[in-house]
Amino acid sequence: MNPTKTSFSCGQAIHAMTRRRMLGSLGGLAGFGSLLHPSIAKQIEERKKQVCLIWLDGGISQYESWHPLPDSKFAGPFRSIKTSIPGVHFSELMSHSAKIAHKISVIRTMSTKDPNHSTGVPRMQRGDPLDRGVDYPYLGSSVAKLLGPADPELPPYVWIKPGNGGFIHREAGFLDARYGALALGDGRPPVHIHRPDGVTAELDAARNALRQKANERFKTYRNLSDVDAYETSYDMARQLMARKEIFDDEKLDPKDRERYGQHPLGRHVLQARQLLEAGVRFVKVNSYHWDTHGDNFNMSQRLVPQADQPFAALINDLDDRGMLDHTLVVMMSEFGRTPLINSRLGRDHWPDCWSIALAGCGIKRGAIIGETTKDGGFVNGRGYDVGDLFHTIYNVLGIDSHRVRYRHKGQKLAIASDDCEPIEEVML
Amino acid sequence: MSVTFHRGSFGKILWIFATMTWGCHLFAEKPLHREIDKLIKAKVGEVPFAEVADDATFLRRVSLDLTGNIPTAKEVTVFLNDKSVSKRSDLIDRFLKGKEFADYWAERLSVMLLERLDLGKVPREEWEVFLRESLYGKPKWDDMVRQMIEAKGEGEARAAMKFLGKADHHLMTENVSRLLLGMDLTCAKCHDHPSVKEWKQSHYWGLFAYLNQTKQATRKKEGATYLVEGLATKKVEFESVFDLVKMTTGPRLPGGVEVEIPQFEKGEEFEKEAEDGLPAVPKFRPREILANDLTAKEYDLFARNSANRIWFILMGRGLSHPLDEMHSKNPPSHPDLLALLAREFAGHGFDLKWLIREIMLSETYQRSSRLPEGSAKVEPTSYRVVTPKGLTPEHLLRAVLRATGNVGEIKPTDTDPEAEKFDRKGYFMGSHDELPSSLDDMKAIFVQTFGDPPGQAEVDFSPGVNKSLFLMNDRLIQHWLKPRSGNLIDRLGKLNKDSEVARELYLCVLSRLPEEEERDWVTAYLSENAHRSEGAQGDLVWALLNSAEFRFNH
Amino acid sequence: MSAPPLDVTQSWASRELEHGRQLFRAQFSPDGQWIAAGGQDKLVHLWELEKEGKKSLQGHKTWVSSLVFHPKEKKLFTADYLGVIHCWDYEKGDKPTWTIKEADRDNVRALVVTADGKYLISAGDDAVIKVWKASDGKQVAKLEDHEECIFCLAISPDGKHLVSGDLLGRIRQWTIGDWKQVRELDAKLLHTRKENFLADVGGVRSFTFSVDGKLLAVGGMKEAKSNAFCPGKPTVLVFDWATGEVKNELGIKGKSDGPFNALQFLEDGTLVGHTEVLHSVSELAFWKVDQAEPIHSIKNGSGYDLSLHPDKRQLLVPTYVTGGSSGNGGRGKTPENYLPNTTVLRIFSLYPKPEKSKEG
Repeated sequence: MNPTKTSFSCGQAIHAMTRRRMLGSLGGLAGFGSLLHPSIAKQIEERKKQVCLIWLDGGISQYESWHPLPDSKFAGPFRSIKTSIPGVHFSELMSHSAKIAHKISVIRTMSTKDPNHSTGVPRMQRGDPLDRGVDYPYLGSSVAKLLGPADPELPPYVWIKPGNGGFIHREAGFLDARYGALALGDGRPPVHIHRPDGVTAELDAARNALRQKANERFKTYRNLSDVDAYETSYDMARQLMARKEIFDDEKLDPKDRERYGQHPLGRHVLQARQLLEAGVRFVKVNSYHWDTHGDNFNMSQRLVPQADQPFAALINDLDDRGMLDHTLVVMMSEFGRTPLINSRLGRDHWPDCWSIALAGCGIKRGAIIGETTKDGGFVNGRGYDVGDLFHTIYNVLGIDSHRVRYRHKGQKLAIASDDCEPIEEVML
Repeated sequence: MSVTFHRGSFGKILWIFATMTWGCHLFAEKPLHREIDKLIKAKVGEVPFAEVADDATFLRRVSLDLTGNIPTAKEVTVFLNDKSVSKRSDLIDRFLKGKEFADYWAERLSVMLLERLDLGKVPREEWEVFLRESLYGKPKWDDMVRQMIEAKGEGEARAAMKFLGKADHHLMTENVSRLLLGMDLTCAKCHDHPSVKEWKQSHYWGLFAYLNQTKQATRKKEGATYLVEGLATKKVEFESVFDLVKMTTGPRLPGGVEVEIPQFEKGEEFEKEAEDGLPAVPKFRPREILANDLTAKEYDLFARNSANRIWFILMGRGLSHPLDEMHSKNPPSHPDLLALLAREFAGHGFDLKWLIREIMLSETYQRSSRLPEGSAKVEPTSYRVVTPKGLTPEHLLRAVLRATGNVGEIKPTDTDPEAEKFDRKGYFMGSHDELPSSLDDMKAIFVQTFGDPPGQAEVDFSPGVNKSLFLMNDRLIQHWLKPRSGNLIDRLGKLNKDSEVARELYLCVLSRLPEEEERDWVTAYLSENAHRSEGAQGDLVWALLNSAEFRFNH
Repeated sequence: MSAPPLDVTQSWASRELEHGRQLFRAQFSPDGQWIAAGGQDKLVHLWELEKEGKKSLQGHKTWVSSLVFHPKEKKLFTADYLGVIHCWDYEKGDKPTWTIKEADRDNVRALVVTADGKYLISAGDDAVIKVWKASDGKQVAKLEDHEECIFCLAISPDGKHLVSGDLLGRIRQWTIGDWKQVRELDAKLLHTRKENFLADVGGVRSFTFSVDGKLLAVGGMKEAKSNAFCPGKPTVLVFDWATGEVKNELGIKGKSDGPFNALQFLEDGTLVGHTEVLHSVSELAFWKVDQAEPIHSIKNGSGYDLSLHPDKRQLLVPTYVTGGSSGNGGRGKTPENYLPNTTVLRIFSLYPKPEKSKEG
């Protein structure tokens, strides 16, 4: 049931290549070992598709972003502006996205159940599957598992976030810890990616040659996947060190920095572009403190443009580079904000009817999905749960979300909520 | 004789088997370690086995497994030169008696039982003292577990209750079933296990019913928190998410008999009144019953799980693996052997050191990790060769400190609450230049890098990019590779001959003598780098520290 | 009839005017006969108090952000979040007599009229103070020195100086007429931006001069904890006008966590302030400014403005009223029963409540 460790019969170089491919980028056991149908596994091994998830933690207000409704009795004070889609308006705080609306899609009737952050955030990022007594992986870990790395030399799931970095196993849930996220604190690469002071590249190569010599001797009469996995992790580590410029934001064009914005989210989304260009499969970018229960309008005025500017810049850049067709971009929070304005001139949580934006791989261009009541706040017609969103995401990535299953401790587990369906209206 | 799970009335059959097989230990003819080897060999028949490991390998392995550290260079040379026939068993006995055994096994068991969480009100230090003191002398595993569950101790002696954390009923149920019975019943909270027929929802709730009266209460006098029990008056209700049929159960061990909940006359339920912040003590205390019944030597599931986990710690893989999947769909690699170990362990009063010793005396344990002659491929579960185990994060720290001769760098932890704490977060972010100086801070850094996330079982070796980057580039390790009074680099620098350098290097870092080929390339490297000999020596140490041979307990 | 003696500790809510939407600004007219209020529903609402009449003026296309009566003429100036300023003949007209469009391109947050009635002054998000002729709205001057959104303006009692306060806690003093900057006052305590904030929080939110012009009280909040809930400690800084230094820092004892949106000195030197709080009851606080804690507080819903009646004995507070659907999520509400929160214009009389008449 648990894949047993296999032994290999020789340590010749030609087998090293095969071994590495089989082991996947971070070493260890064969990547598809715990999927149900190997034939399906082959189908879904798509090397090119990539994902960027921009997570605005706390709940961006849909009234102050994607769905302004200035005549609504719940409207805030800001204008709505025309977008590049005739008849469609965004908030004036989304001036950049308004210009490229024809490249993206917006779903205005996300309708979910959880009004809390602590449970809502993991729920949304896990796709809110049915409770099977296991911790489901977050989207990035799922994609890392289901598609593997896009470039075998790079980690499949990188997370750019304020604060601390590290390796975040937790997001892998019941999947193996290696599908967790390599987190770059404030976009900075792991501090250990740098060679120590006084160690030149030549010295590093020389001492690594000694290390490899020692390992060759050790492996002479031993052939174990654990040792191979260990070596592969060094190969990966050295590849990351050699490619560390992909994490180095010093190398970014100042004009790009201007376009994305010098604020943290701007810098981080630009770094995400850099990683996507380098070939990372899944990049998540987090921004925190969007939970504007107080002073929502002054805060939205300052916050929303911080998401709008880099989001639009990213879409444009991916499009210019011919990457938009195979890169899925999603920008969302765990819920929206209340139509009602509270006593602190804030808006509270509103999972009942909120908006997300998607673009890229398999997503329609310029589709605005979902009807609400005239004043906003309530779905008028079809609402979509996060499970529907996950079905959508997997399908546009080429993964049959209803057939593919995880296998865990004898249980077959759906990759997206069984009760939900892909959102056809937003898919090509 | 194997213990099997039957559908239907497997409970009764299980009890009969268990009682019979337990009784059989009185008739064991050979020492356990011989029986182990016999059963291992019997499973595969006439195929080559690896040789027994050489002395240096054996010493390093036993040292890591019993004291949590590699041996010193001196210990290696002494052992290699020791001519006595019984040196291996003497070594094992010596280590088992020592303080380091208690320290290391306390650490190992703590990680297994708490999974690096720090829940509940018992300070971690007190819990570690409890484990250490239990492991010094003649530790009995059933006693230890009984104390952890009944949690009756007063004052410092209450530290055993740390295992039950903050008395979260569901978490306790899951931990007891996973860690003490080898059954991951977590999904059985909501429904019968979909594929493991013998794991039912009633098993989960039967265990739950022993624990659901437990809660924390603080005795005002000393402000210490205890685990108390409330009054149990009725069975626990549950229903499956799939068929919504309501069911009930009283306290019941998997495979066991349901404990009847006695009904008392009003006013007669308690045997001790509420006092000083602690509630009244009921006469019927299911958790205490659990503590006794679960650790009874007749209760085979406990004995099997316990034996399996000791086997895992020493052999790197459970006979039943994963460790919490002991069921019919995941049969053990050697059912007879597991049954034997369980029986003998129980029969010897769960004498932990006795079981460890017996396993270590077996050829199976002492076998080399080098493939047998002529064999290209060996299944690890055949035990024809020993499978190397990864070092734990704490192993790694101690081994690096000892290998590089930097134990003297450790400063005692500053207990002054006003003292400035070392900024561990900043260390990983690269926001300051300081180095940790206390063992606690160093341990925290190694655990954060190499440990599994809190709340997860640390079982399998899981390499990672971040871990390798750490060993390669970390400032603290680089610091240890600079010469400092008496450390390895310092000593290497003072040696005249390259051959002496090679010898010292290999003895200190890999706990063995270098082979000729290795002496040759050490010499070659040193002469190529004669202009920077200190750096070159550092490179050699670095290379060996980062090698697989160091990283694994082989 | 002479005004009853001022006794704030005996204040009572003497009149309430309800409104079905949220209003954030409310002012008495200089003759005390009218109240003008504006807010979320884009209309300028007028109550004629004696006649109990109410009318609403249409013209603004977004929230009404500020309003001020002309001190001498029957004119009302209102501004909104588009930077549009209307001048109304509030007694007779239902259309603006003139309009300044695109005054700021951005929201106008504050409006004041000079004591002589000659100039209307506006300021807001673009950080530029604009001076207009009150008679026809022609621009007279632009005062530029702030870097961030200006939240409030005030004119000194002697009519000679204008003060402006911004998001960063900076106060500028200007002379009226030649429009020169003469001084800066430091209220940075009222601004918070911690390292992990995405935006500046707080700022100078309200001004009031003491009647004798010797003190300037500045309201806001300090020590904001986040830019999400934006909770902080409501704080008043009392400046010595002569020296420009802070004489005292005032606070409250209650739970309110928002800024002081409005302050008003009374003729006896008592300072009044109103703050706001999330999902709870806030307070109207009264201080003797040499003591940090209020001498008296009245529990009241969150309040956004203060206006002193010309009789100096009545205080108007546009007060938040919850519609009962507050908090997170819809929780079973439908579009039909999920209704906006509302306002009560609550008038507090600052003297003891008269005993009941002895008749009947």
